[in-house]
Amino acid sequence: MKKLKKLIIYCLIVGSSFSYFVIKKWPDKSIQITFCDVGQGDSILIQQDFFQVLIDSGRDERVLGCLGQILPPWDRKIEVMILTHGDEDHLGFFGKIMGIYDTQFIFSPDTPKDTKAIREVKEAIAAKLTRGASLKQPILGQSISFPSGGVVTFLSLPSEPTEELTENDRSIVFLLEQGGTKWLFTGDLEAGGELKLLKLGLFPQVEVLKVGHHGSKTSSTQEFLQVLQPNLAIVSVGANNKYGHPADEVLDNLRHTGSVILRTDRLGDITLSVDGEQIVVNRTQRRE
Amino acid sequence: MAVKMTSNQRQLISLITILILIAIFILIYFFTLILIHHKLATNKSRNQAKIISIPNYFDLVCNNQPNLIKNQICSLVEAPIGENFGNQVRSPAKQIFTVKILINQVKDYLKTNLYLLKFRFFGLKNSLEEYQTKKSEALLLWHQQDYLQFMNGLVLGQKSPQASFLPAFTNAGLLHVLVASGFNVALVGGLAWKMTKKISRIGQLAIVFLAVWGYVIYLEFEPPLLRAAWMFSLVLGLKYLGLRTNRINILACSVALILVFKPDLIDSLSLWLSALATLGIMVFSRRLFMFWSEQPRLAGGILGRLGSTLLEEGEVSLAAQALIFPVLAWYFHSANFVSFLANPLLLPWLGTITQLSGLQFFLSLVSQFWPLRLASWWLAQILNQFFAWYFAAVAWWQKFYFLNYALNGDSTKLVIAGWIGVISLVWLITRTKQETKNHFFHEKT
Repeated sequence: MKKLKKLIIYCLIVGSSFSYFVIKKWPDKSIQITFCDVGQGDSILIQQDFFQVLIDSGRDERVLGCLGQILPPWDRKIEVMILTHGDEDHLGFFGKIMGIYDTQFIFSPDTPKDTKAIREVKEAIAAKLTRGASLKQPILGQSISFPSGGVVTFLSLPSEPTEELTENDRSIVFLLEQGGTKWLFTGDLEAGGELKLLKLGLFPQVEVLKVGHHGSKTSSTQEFLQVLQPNLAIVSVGANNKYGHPADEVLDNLRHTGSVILRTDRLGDITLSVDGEQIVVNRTQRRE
Repeated sequence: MAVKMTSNQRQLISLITILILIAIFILIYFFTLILIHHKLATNKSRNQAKIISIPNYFDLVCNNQPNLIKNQICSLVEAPIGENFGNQVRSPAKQIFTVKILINQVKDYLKTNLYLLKFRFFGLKNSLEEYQTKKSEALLLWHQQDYLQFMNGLVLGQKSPQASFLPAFTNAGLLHVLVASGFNVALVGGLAWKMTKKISRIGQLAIVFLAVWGYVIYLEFEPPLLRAAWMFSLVLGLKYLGLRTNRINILACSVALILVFKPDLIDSLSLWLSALATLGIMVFSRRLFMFWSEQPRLAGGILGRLGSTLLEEGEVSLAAQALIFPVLAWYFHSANFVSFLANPLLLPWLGTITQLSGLQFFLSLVSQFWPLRLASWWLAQILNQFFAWYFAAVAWWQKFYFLNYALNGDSTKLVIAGWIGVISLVWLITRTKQETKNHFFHEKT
């Protein structure tokens, strides 16, 4: 009898702590966007319910801590993976992530680069294709719809065969719309790419901008920012990086447009959520 | 029911035991030799490994024979047999040649197979390590890098020089917890023992030996592990045979065996620290026990049990440090007094943490099954909390770092002399004479 009592008490303790962690982890129907602190690099996770979109992976395993914090452990599928361009600080760890998580759609640009990281990613993509995933090249206007509202629309232009683009200008650019809010993600797009899309009138005014190329002075020109007029600017950047990112001019330009700047090197992982018209900073967390 | 044996029977059993032990030692030595130089073998492909032993045919035949035969045979190597053997020398020379070839063929065959065994074993080990790394990476989803490195240190004795907690652990004298040693061997052996309870005794013994030595081989024969594995094997083997064991003799035998098989470990500090810590526990822990065993018991219930466990673990920790303190003072010219305070309070929790960490690694290996993945994740949440508290507790000792001294030549001698004084005093007041016991510990006759 005593043993049974003990067993029941143990089961209750284990069960309640387990339930507590599960409830804490259960995703809701609002869209959550997490800018992971991966040092000098980019990795962004968009989650709604059990539907996730991962944009870039950063250079190394630091992204895992961020994913582990957000994703439910019982869900080993990230529905959409987007590789913005071929730089290692954006796709260096994608191969490993694909080893851990299943996926349905992979969006990857056509890159002429041939590095070890890219070869690893290509191998991982090939393995995923054999398991039923689809590889897609983004087309202007193509969109991904979230299950409970929210759309991601690609703004990338197909490059002309004769056109000589830098790797950064090949970045996949896309717009997230949820409720009345617009979010722009530009990868490492530089001034040339920004200007080209500006001329076509593709950019609307947005609420949130993921600042291009980690706040480098080669991106986020004044004309570009004047059109976008973001309320919130997120800079994904490594602390004390050797490139001097983000550049003071870019930060000044952002302040002039009235943007509030959030930086991953100062705040760690930044999670924002959208519920209707409202954008809320849910959580900022420095992991190590 | 115990059966009384005659002295002849006991002698016979002892003789058989010795023979079995010798056979086991030879086997282990043989495999140790194969495995220790694995780096050489793993760098070679199978074909290369075979080529290595081909010159042996001619080395033996051409260099070790009397001149006459040597000339005949070695010229034979370069020309067809029928043309070179004359009728007079043909028969003995051909016989020797044939025998030598046969011997060398057997040796060559064995060597090739040994190389292949090494290649396969370490190929398997490399695959296991790759698998482990892959699974460890997946654990980074739920654990910080530091926590994962800490778990690696506890379970596998793998220290990461870049881990941010190392300075705090070093200053608190807790770095030794990141070395796989007797505790890990006891855990592995104990677990294997429990899991094999239902099979026959000899089968159980075989599986326990296999588990312990497999663990030692996987961690590449680290000296503290070797010491612990030898002690464990000897105690278990002798107990199985119903023979009495003396702990200090077993320790001495283990160290002697390690040195016989690998004499270059004689200057291995980790081996001597491990052996001295074990000796310290054997000699002093019971003596220290006398200081508090007669004191009023702590309150009953969980708190009382916890208090008693802390005291016992503290006494073991102090006893272990008693003998390694002068070695550390001598080698590293530092007197780490924080270690004496921090270890008794921080070590007792490590048993549970190491077991849970081991379980976490195991669950990570089978995490493709989602219920087990959930269990692994839940355990990770609990462990993270433990680790956060533990690291905070280790860092708390920072305010006492002023108790750690760097020693120079004279102060080293002074500290060691002081240590001899303290140890002698403890020895004196805890010696077995009844009147001393009565006087200090009010022990009843």
